[in-house]
Amino acid sequence: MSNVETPNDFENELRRALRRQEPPSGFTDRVMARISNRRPQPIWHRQWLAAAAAACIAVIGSGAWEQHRRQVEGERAKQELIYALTVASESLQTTKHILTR
Amino acid sequence: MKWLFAVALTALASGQQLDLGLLDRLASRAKSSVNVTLDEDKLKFASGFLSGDDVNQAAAKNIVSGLKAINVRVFEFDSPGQFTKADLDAIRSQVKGPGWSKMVEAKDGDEMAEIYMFSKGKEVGGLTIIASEKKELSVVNIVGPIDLKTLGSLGGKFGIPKDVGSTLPKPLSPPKSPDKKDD
Repeated sequence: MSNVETPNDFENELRRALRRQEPPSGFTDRVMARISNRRPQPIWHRQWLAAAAAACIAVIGSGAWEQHRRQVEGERAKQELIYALTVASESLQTTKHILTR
Repeated sequence: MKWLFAVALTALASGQQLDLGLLDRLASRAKSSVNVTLDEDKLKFASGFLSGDDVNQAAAKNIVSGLKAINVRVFEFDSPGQFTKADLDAIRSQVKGPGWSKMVEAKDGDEMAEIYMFSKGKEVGGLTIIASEKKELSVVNIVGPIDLKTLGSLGGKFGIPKDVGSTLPKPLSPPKSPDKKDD
């Protein structure tokens, strides 16, 4: 007796294993029943997530706005400073000019 | 003892700081006026935005370091006679206090310039420049260690001519200020 499988035996085994099988009776009903019994995500959970996202956006947004505001104020202060030094320097040179006239 | 020292320092600082607000009434008569008031905090803040890589801005940064305040008033009028000797005397009376001395007084026709220096021992603690002509008036008050040579070194920078002609300061681009009035 030989245990060696022939290609035909293997193909038959495969065919048997892969043959179409009908699900047991009531399978679809049981699956549908389970789906409908599943509890939905609590509404507070979703609200919390939305609030957290909104808070993150607000924090990032206000930080960016604050940085922008500081930049604008800084540039303005810088222009005022340059202007003040310009007036001072020019007044000085005007004095010099009057003296050397 | 410490508080006495602090009071003395405050008094000294306030002596250097002039009240240029006395001139603000001229703004209503002026064609344009600019009011720049920079205290120590604002000077530091503004100085932080000056680039050390830019030669002009580095020069300005160098001048500003150590200053306590810069106050400027510039008025331009449509016609002569819009400001009087009394207006200028309101400033002059403030630089007659201890520590102040008149360094320069120059007059030529309608043009006039005066420079006052505040000294504490050998150290310069402030500077005031009053410059006027028929239709223009500029007053600058700088509080803190400043010397004329350094300030004058700004000539040729920020569009300041190296040798200014007969006109008073007319900066190329005055900052937009809520106090500025253009008719």
